Amino acid sequence: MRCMRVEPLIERYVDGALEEPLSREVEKHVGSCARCAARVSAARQLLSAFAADPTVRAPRGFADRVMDAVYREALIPRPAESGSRDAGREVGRTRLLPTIARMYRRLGLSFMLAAAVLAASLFIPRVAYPALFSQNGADAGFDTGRGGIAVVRNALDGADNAVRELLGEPQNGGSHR
Amino acid sequence: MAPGNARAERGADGELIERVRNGETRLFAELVHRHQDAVYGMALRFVGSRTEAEDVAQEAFLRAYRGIPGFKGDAKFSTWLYRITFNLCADWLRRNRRPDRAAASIDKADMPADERADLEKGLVVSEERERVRRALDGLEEIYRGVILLLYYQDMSYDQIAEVLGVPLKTVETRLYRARKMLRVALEEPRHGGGQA
Repeated sequence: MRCMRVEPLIERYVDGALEEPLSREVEKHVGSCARCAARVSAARQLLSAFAADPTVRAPRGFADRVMDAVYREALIPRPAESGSRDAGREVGRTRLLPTIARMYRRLGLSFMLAAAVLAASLFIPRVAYPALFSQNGADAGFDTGRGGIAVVRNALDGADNAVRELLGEPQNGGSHR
Repeated sequence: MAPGNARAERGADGELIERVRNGETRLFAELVHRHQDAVYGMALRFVGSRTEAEDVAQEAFLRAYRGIPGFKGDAKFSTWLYRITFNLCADWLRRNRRPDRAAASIDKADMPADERADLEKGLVVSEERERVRRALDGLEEIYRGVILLLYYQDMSYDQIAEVLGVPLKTVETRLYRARKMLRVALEEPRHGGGQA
């Protein structure tokens, strides 16, 4: 083997990536050629410079953190994968949990909606009809003599008087009339 | 790695993958333990920061987990996993590459405590190694990639070709050019370490 043919093979030879018949031929040539031996030596020097670098190890707890993420993924599959084979059988087995989670979420939303309706029913009449809730509705221009609002007002007065009676306080005598 | 060992590793990983695919998710932890150093190491060499490397490595394992149902076993699990990691690193570099960041350098702060201790003992520190790192940091991404995979990840040419998704000949060409550039960089007069 001649230098011209050996030179391009040297790196692969040093890396151990050269097939056996060629590797032996290169070895034989290098044994008898000072120039190619120097090239091999330079290639090995480069290799040893890299080999001296410390091995990097994953930080402590890394595998646990990965598995936490994997289990989260298995419990709540990503939307794109939930219907695919990627979800896997484990995911299928635990598909009940996200369903329950969804139910809870909906239940929570329903409660929030109910609370909002209740709040609205309590506050909107106060804002829309302030006279209905004021002590002197007539002064505020509220027409107490007509319509269903007067009935509501009377009912409220009745309830108010009942409470006052219980507490032993003087009752409103329907002064607004 | 000897072909026999490679087959044995493939077999062992293959059995675990099959069981994970059949619903034994907890066994994925064994695969993580087997490959975490290589995956994290690759990420750290490429992105250069411990925190970012952990994120990249974690994402690589998550993607591998998601992909297990579709993993055919044509390639070794490790090669497939390294390919995922490499692609994530390449994406990360495209998004975050900063000229002042030496991606392939492993700072002392980025090493686990025991390795820092080794460094302090002077077991692995060498000026030559630092020069090689600086030279490596000066390489273009495609050349640095092959060098990192060959020397730090200890991959064969074939494996590098699979990981990068390029023909074997391309790997050989890139390695040849990368080494040539490294040698030129290493032959430059030594500076006082001010050049990064």
